[in-house]
Amino acid sequence: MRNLLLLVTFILFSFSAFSQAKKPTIMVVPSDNWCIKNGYTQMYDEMGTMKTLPDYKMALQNETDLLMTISKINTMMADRGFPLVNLETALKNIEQEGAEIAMLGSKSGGSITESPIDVLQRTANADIIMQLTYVVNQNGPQRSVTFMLQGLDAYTGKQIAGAQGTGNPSFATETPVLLEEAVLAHIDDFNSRLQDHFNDLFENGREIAFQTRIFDTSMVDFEEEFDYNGEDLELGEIIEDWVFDNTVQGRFSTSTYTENVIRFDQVRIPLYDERGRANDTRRWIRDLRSMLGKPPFSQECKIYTRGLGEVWLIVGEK
Amino acid sequence: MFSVSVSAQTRKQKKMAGYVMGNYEVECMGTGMDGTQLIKVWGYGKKPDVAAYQAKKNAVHAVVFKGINGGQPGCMMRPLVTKPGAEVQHSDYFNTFFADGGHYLNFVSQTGDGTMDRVKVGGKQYKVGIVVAVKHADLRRELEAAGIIQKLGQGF
Repeated sequence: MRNLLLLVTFILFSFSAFSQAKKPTIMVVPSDNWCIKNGYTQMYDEMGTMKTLPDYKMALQNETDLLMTISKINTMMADRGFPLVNLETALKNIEQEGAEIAMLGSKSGGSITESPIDVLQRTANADIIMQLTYVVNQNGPQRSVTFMLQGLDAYTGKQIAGAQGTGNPSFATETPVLLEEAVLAHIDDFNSRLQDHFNDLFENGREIAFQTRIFDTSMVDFEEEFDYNGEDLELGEIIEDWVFDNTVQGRFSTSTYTENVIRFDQVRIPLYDERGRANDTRRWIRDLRSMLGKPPFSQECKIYTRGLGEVWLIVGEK
Repeated sequence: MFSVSVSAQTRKQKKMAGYVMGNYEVECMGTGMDGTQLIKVWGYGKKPDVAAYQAKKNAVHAVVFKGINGGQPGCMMRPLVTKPGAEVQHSDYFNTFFADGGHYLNFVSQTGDGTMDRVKVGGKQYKVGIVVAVKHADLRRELEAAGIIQKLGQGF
């Protein structure tokens, strides 16, 4: 009897665990515009071309107003039941993780393996970036704050929510108070739009980007023809058909199709798989990898994911 | 101007509107404390007190169904309920919520010294404007608990 009760509890728990879709992570970051205007940048030499990148660490260490604004947004989002990833903590974690990976060793002297890609992926990241910009306007003795909050889907690059405006001019109010007022004034409109995005997600599936590429060691490319289900089709067309069959209402668009790369945009994957488990890009693409691993294709494939929202399938080997 | 205002409140419209008159005027007066917004709202009634009472009801109605799109910055431009037809779909709930002395009074309070702008329109009607604070964060939580709107990120 006790075992039966345990089994029932386990099944109920499993069901409730599987019925939750994967929650996107959100992080507030100062916009590039704000960082450059306030001088928090670092130069980066990319193969001879100098690039300007925002220096978030310096900005957070020096700008109390920025820290206060981010903290206020984080607090208000947590109050509304959606805690955010804190940028400062994320940056510290990355530094700490790097140091620990370098120091950690096994008893026999082995060290932790990390490829250049692993190092590259060790960056502060979130599925939705809340990009913050503010400007303190001075008009004679009066000051006001222009405030802009953009919710950007990190993988599709789309703006999914936003709130912006200029507050009332004031003679005496200090900048932090003006900023706090701006956050209070805009956060709920922003959240309302964010909720619309989540509703769309539940109705039409999660939007992801998907690329399929070829290793140069591969014996086939996407124009190689196969006899599949009684039809002679190119490998790329077979993959395209699979994407059609495995998206919500067949929603996707093919933006590039060559013998070496096929890019799919606006791919709407269901939030749950056919067994009711929460879906993500890796789980979604696994079936395609299995299909390509079997005859008539017999191709090994590597899956490479970029967070919740983008996945690559590279044909040829692992 | 007054004649336009009076003609906007025809008897037929009042009957159609239910617990509030749909064509009330509302404007933002600024951000209040966390989760509160200050609104100037107008109500109609045969006596000034009745009109002020109606104005409070209109204020909550505006935050829930209309959003505050005029006046100073600082108010929610989008309403709490954005789903089309939700007012009709949940009419049982809203009829009770907006009944005289109903639960809506927990989310609105008159601010300042209680003064009101009073205009007599027609022979037997007053139009009264008051500044109120609407606790929109608490109101959102109430509507979430009632299942009328979704909690942010619900389902994840």
